[in-house]
Amino acid sequence: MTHLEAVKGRLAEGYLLGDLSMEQLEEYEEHYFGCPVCAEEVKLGAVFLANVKGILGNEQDTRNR
Amino acid sequence: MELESFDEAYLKRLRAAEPATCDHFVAYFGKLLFIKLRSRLRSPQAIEDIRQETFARVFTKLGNEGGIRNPASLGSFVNSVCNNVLLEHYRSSSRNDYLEDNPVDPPDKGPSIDEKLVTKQTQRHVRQILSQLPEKNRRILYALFIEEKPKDQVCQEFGVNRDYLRVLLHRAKQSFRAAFEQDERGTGS
Repeated sequence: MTHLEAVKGRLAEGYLLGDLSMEQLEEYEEHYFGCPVCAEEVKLGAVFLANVKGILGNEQDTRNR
Repeated sequence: MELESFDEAYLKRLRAAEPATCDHFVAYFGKLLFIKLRSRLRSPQAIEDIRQETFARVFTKLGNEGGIRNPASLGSFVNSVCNNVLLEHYRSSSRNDYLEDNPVDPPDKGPSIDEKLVTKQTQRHVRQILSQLPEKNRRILYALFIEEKPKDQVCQEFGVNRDYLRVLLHRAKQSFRAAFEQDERGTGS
């Protein structure tokens, strides 16, 4: 997998959304472990989503109380 | 944001167990391993165990003759070692399940996996980004990550395709990056 393929396919987003086939997932992991640009994209996205889950989850808890 | 590069000098310092380089290596790949493993395992303890075992094997192999020679393949090497450790974990879990009738990788009690990625600063930025999202996009994120609905169902309910979800996440991520860079500029001046 080339960096261009990863960027064009928005594979960082697909990876974080759990939207890649097993083959794509393995290829993308192989790529981003060695690609600082994609690694940064994955890290940033993972932090963003962890926060989204926390914030939206807390809002839901507050509404349920 | 600063991007990492691994060259011959870095590999040499790593082989010599230079403390600052080892710390950097563990911090950098520790985050990547954590993200990789959390998509496959529910137990924070199992994630930590596999991460530690991966680093132990990588450091052993780094010191061996005939170990990794090309610094550019360092990341690929860490990933493949982790895959091997993960495979052994799956095999061992299956054996134990058969004997003990326990579920594979039960979740631990204690802080959730995601909590390790959340700080006050990141929460502030994400809150702001969420408040600026169109209601439809906010509801999509809610359906995906809180209600944990299947992606096909979410796409059908909101009249979007899979690519829309990737673009939504991509744009939100760009806003998140911009917020951090703005912070960095603010503190740097």
